[in-house]
Amino acid sequence: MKKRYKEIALILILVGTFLPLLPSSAASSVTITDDVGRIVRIAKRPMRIVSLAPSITEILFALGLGDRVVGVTSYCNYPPEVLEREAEGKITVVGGFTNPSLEKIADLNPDLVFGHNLLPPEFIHNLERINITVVVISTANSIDGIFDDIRLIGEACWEEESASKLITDLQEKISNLETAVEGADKVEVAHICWMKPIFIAGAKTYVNDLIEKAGGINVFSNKTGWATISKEELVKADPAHIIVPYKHGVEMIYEELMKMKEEGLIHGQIHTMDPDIISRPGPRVVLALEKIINFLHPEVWSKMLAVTDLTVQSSVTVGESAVIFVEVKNTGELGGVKTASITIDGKILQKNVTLNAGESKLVVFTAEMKKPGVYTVSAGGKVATLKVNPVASALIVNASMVLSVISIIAIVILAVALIKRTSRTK
Amino acid sequence: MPSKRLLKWRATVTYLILLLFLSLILTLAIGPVYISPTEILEVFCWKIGILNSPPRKVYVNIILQLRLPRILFGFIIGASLSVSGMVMQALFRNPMASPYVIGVSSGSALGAAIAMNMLPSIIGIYTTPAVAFLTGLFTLILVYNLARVEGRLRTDTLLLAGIAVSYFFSAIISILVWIMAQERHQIVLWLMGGLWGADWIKIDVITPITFIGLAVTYMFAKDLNAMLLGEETAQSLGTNVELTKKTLLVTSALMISASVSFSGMIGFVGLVVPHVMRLLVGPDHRILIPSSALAGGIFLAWSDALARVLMEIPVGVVTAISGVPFFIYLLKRRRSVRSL
Repeated sequence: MKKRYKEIALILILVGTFLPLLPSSAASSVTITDDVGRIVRIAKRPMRIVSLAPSITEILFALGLGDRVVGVTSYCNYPPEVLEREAEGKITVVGGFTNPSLEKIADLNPDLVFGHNLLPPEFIHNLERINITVVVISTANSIDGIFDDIRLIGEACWEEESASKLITDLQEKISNLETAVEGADKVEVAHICWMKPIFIAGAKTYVNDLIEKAGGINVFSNKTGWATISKEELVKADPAHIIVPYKHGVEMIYEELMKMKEEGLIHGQIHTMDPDIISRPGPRVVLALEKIINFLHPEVWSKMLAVTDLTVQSSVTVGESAVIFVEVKNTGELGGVKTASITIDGKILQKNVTLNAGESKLVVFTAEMKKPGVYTVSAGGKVATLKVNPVASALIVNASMVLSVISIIAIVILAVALIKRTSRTK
Repeated sequence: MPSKRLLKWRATVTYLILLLFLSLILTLAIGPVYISPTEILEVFCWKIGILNSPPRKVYVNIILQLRLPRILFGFIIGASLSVSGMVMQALFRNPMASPYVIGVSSGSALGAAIAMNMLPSIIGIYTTPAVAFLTGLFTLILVYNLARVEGRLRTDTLLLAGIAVSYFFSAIISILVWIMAQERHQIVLWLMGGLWGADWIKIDVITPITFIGLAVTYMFAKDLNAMLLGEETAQSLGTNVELTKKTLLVTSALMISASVSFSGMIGFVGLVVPHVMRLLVGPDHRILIPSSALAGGIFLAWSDALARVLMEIPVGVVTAISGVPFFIYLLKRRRSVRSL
């Protein structure tokens, strides 16, 4: 099936390259070739869009086209706006993933329907038969595939610009995360998405890409696609980390693996993850990647934060504690306990801070300064100086403090005496 | 007396035909999208030219392109499944027989699974049904030759051959489902069966096959009656047993293969509708054939209407859940009548 599509696609590409040479091809319509090689002409800017896959829904909302989506599947639950708009009656649920209702889609009178490659071909045909424009998006099996999907969806919606903006944004975030784990030791990982039989993510899945980018080695990269393995193979591979989906209804996978671990068959850490995040090749790929980094390299992840401000007292006296204010921001998509650190004259101070995604917090460090001098304080690329004064100035401070205490006592005594006198005269 | 019986039969068929038309009208109004009766009427009036102003385009599409083909598809497939089930029950003299016992349906299913996975879509979306139909016919030839001993078709061997072949093919389908990760959804969905894939081209293809099949089966109604008494008795009553068996086997297989190719394995209809009709109109095939055909069609169309409303659940689920209680009720009633 796919070979033929490729041929058709090739012909279309050839035709496509010569089409712009024709004089009358004005920009009044968009013609695209979808993932199964169908040529689709989209005559006007789509304003009533139906998405038949949760990942496509996520992409549409990430492109800012949420207000143009009129129909989704019952599995589309992200972003929360989808459910809100469903409750408001602005979005209709047209059915499940592989068996949506044709009638409901037709009733929405959509100008664009995004289908996927797991829908039966007859289903697509039936939509075409009633003159509904359908673009078929294949489930991406690599991170680049997600970008291709976003690009195609953007083109089909006449929103190429926001699509390329979203892609650049995601690419930048992903490469930042990749850079962060660059130095870390590679660890062995498996992603198990089903037990009985055991299904794992092999090569040519986007989870495989995620594992590699997160500083891991997929122990089952010798398999292709979503493949089944036997328990023996899992025991033999015995990866250091196993990532499993976990939510209501699929607890079995985690429990089975924990049982295997108790029996001493496997020894790796078992990490659980919301299947909606790891199984949908959509814009939450960044969150998925960060989560996997958090599993595989927690020490790297906990240090991934930005220092937005560094304030140091202008001067302190020897023997006193210097107070250093560091404002840190979790620039990632995942919340949790992070480690903020500062360096004073080569000495590293660390403090744990709980940060939600995108949250900023002020972390206060105190350091007892024993020697006078000028110190350099640095944190996350920001630098400040701290002056530690010798004892003399400290004495002055102490003297003034003693003086003020004495004067306060004197005032109190005077006040008491005054009150007593006035009461006696009465 | 015979004329009275004939009158009763005519009445039964007339009632069922009326019920069929009533079902057609009522099920047209059933679906996940509510369309009021007046609007449905407008669509049809506009279609036949009485009304000049076209109604809402969306409703025209839903009624004429989605709902009507599905209902007609339900009538036709329901009829062919229940009549072929009835033929199997009569030929094998086994109440457990269903259209799927001779293995043709597993052959079609295997063909469909292979087509979905490996074959390029030569003739577009109709590749799967076409391949399924052809493999169904191939299975028929296979089973037929396995069951033929010295030129005669033995029903017991036929039953065993059919079951053996269907188990074998099911095993191969399981292997395919096991290997294929991506297309697994499609195969499983296909195996469960459904009428949502209906379109006018499919109806154009399946209608003649079904009508010819029903007509041929009806021609053998008297022979089927005789066969119920046993093959030797039937032979002595003047029935050409071999011809009857072979013709009916081939016609049923054609009907089964055609309906399975287009709508997957819709269970239950072929097993139980003939029994229900036997309880209601008696075992005489001259009335049993037309009434089973009509009742099977009506039952499947209604089940599909329900499946449409219930988020497109597989229609086989609806047929079983709605049909079994009724069937058990009939069985119980018959038993109590007998014990009286």
